[in-house]
Amino acid sequence: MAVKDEIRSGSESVSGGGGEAPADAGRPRRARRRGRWHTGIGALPFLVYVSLFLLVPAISVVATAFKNGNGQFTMANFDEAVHGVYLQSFIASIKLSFASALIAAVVGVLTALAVSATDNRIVRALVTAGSGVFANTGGVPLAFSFIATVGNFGVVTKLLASAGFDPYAHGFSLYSVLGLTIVYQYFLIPLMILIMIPPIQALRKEWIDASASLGASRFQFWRWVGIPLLTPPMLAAFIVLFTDAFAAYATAEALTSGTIPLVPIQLGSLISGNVLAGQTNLGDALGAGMIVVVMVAALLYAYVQRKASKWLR
Amino acid sequence: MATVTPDLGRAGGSGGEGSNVLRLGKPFRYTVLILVGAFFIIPILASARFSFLGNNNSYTLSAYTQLFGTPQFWSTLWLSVKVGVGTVALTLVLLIPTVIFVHVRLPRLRRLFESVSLLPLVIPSVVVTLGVITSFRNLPNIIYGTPVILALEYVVLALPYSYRTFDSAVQSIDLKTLVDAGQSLGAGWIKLLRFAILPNLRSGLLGASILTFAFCLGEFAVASLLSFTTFPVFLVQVGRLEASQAVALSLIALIFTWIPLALVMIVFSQRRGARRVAGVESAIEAAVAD
Amino acid sequence: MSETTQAATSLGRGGVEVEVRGLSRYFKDTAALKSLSMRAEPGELVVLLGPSGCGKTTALRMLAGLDAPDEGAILIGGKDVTSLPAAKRNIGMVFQSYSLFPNMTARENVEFGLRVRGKKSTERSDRSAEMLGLVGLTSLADRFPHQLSGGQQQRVALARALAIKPQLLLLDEPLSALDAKVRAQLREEIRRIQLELGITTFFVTHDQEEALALADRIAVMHQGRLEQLDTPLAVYSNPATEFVAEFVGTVNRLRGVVVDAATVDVELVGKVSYGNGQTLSPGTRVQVLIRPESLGVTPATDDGAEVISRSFLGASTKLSVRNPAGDPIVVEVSVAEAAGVADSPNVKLFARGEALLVRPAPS
Repeated sequence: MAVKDEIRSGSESVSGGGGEAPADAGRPRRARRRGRWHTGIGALPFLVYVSLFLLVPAISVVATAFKNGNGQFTMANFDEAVHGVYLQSFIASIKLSFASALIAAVVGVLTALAVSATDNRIVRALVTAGSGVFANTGGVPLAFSFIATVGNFGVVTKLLASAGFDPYAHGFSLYSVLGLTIVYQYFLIPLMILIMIPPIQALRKEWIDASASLGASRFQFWRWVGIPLLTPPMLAAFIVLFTDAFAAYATAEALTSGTIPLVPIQLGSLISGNVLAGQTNLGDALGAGMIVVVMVAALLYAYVQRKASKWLR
Repeated sequence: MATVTPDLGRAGGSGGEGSNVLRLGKPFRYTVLILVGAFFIIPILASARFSFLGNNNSYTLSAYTQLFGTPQFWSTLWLSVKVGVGTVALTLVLLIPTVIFVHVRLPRLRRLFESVSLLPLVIPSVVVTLGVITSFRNLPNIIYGTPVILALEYVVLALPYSYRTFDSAVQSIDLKTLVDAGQSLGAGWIKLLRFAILPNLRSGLLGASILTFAFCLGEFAVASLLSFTTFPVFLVQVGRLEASQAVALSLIALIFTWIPLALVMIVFSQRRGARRVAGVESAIEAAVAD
Repeated sequence: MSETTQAATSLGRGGVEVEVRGLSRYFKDTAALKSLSMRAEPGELVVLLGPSGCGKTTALRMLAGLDAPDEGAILIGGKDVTSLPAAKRNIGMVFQSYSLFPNMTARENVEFGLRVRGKKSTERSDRSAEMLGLVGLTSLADRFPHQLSGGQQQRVALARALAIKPQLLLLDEPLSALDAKVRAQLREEIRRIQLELGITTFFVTHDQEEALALADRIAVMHQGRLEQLDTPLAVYSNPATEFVAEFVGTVNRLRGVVVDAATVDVELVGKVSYGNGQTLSPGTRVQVLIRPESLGVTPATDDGAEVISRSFLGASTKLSVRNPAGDPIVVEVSVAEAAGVADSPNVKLFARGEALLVRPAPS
């Protein structure tokens, strides 16, 4: 239905307001034709540009992954990419991203619920704006802020140590997968809040009132209405968070100086030539592997969206 | 969209109940908000303290003074600013005609173009960098060997932020009516853009620019892997030698990205839906009167 | 009445008596409802009518248990339910729009109330089939709300509200989001079903035409107060207050002078009788409220009222005329009578019915 409408309105706009004003058709029509020519030129470069600076590099990585140093076809790069230390890094990366995304999803949903339920306008504005800001930070400065907080000599570390509990004496390290999981929350939780606030606020007062007047308890409302409605956006958001965490490079690199076995870090080391690789194009195979992981996530995302569209137009 | 229908029949009605239709208790709300708030504020406070901490637990500004005295601080910042300005300019040149064209002529492809703009989220920037090295190695040195390549790539990598911001700004004005009305009054495209469309999109353009610029100032992966010492790369180098300076620098960087980002967020959350056709008519009049 | 009660036993539960006593509700400093008291007889359809913000929706939500009164009591079937939560009241409610659960089909929506009551699936599907049949949507049972038109959605909402065999049915502007045509049709249908079930019903609306067409009795509300509670005919032809006269139907305000206890002399119109018992001494300058259809027109030469516009309404014609002072007067007459003055720029007015209200002129 919606698609049809869109197409209809689309064709309307293409044909223009033809029957509208036949009397003074001369000037507008000329302006229109000239306009189409101008904007037509304007939209094409965008696609060309994105192809050139995004798709060409991405495809070249995948293509190169199948070649050896002499340009002949080989599977050896992939063979190495899915064994030993590189396999470990894929596993570690996926684990890290999954755990980070899961924690952020739970905390983010709870926060989004709490914010949506608050009638204090200032709190709501603060959290929304704050989430928008924090979700877009990350990277290097974030890593150093956490070093200052819970690093070896961090302010909170020292505070805890003087209180008799030194986290580093109990196996904690910021420069580890666990540490990264915590640091990633700083941009993943806000992202989750941003994604979840609209669907939560779309829960209509009428649904809650109707379910109450039909005799449903609060629990029954959430079980049969609230949670089913929020599940698709939650799953979709989780996948977005996973992808975000999986691709993150700067924070991990700045925090661990490339010592932690994660795929982006390994790939970075290969690029900057810090590691002597057995295969010339091993890096491209790792890159292709990353694209595959993200693509699988994207497909899941599309699937979840399709599933939800059963009741969301 | 259906969520924003004001209920006039209930004017002055459920006001006392506030927006807590979810019926979540105060203890729950406050516990969550305070804990999450603490998680976000503590690192900032800790960074501030850390950066001011001298040798014997005394407070000092030395981390900052030393930084500002380092020539590299200024040169890398200048490089990042240059790349950022270039990226913003290029982004605007690319986005303005594209988004307007899509809205006016191809509204049914709007989703498709939006998906294209989100592609960089699917291809990790580390992979893009590797691809840039493999595919552009042979390009003239002026492009590949200078920070120009950074700006060229940043345009694409920042698209998920810039495109959507600008796209939703265009969506919020009734562009088609504006264009049709302008054209029926005989305004050409240049006039239409300059006097009717762009003034109405000022906040959208500003938002897209700020987000793009903030992205450029913070981007690390591409710059470091292509061996350009931009500001974030310099920051990591400092961090390997002098932790308190790196933390001080991070704090500065964070605050300077947060302020404009916060502005964007506040402006946009208030603008959303507030814009209507009201300003549109006068804009067209201005366009034609010229 | 005996017919309806019989139908009620098979489908619903029949009507109960509803009474509210001194119901008040304050939001911050303003009172949304000021000491509302009224009674609905078993099986009666009472329309709460008034402009937005008059407290009608607040009153309805309190009946439903979705809002609590600050003062007063609510009795349903003789039982005090004031402090009973909505979920325990067994009241069916239909909202303005978008109240169907979007993740459930029409059938699942109708079954929701039975599901929360732990009814068996056979009982649920029997009941939902019966209810969807009642509202004429059997063939669309498996559609999701977004696949239904606005009118169909409201039918499902009605079926859902009735599925739980409520003792009371509440409708909160259920037709206001619909097209005029669907609105009229669904209005008839709601009335038919309500009579069939004999269920006591409160219907909130700001549309006076809807209220007149539907109600057993209309409760006209204004600024949190009940202005009048009476049959549609009485509310229309014998309004208790000026607000009621103005809000229900169209009314002209003309200047006049009292002649005696039953007659006023109205400018341009002449003698008009009034019967609602105000004691005004002869000679008092008054304002006379009179309906457009209580006035008639005859051709006039150049004195009389100037005709500004004529609109043909099908069964009648509406004339807008202007008195010498420039105040507009609306007259609704038969087409034939309008034809008689078709060529005259000026008309003479006369009264064919009583004045609604006569009150001392504001000084």
